[in-house]
Amino acid sequence: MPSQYRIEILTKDHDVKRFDCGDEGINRFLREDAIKQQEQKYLSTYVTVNGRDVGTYATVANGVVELTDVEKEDFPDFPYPQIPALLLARLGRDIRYKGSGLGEIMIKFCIGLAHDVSEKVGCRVVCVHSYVGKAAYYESLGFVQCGGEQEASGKLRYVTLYFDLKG
Amino acid sequence: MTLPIDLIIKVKGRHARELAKQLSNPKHDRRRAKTSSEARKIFSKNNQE
Repeated sequence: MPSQYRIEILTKDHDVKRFDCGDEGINRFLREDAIKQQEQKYLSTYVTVNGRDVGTYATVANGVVELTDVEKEDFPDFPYPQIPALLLARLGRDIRYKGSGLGEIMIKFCIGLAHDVSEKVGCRVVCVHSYVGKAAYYESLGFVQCGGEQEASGKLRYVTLYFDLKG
Repeated sequence: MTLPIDLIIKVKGRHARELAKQLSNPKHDRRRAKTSSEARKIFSKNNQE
């Protein structure tokens, strides 16, 4: 990690007003929703910071991957058709930090967090919905596609990927 | 388009069967192993600082 940055849990002291990743939905979530949903203990948001300035952020939550259309013989040694997961629900990198490597560091931090969680409460996969154009990047880190959602036209809206914490 | 936040992710059909297979009998993947190793280091280092 570039030595001048740290990863911290988001607090009201972090300056999120200047954050701009070029996607207004992702910006707005950080500015308006992240702290509130963290206080409600639904989601937690981590930020890479230099002083108070936020370079990247990731929002994570506990969740579950539910397998449908599978028979018990498809996974005889696995006890449940629901898989405990850490969901990478939001990821944003400020355009000022393009090329810094902080986006990849934040994804890896979340995978490290999932490994830590998996040793304490059980967690088998990290899951993320990705824009179609970013899916290959996740795959380069070891994520595997496991679905997505199509628009009425048949075009993919987004891709869902998982990262197995075992093996 | 903003990506949805789903706390339940439903995986269907072929993808579900392939995921079940992976979970039952995890295959080693070099990229995943490398990412996991780096991820543990980043998480641990950040917590020590």
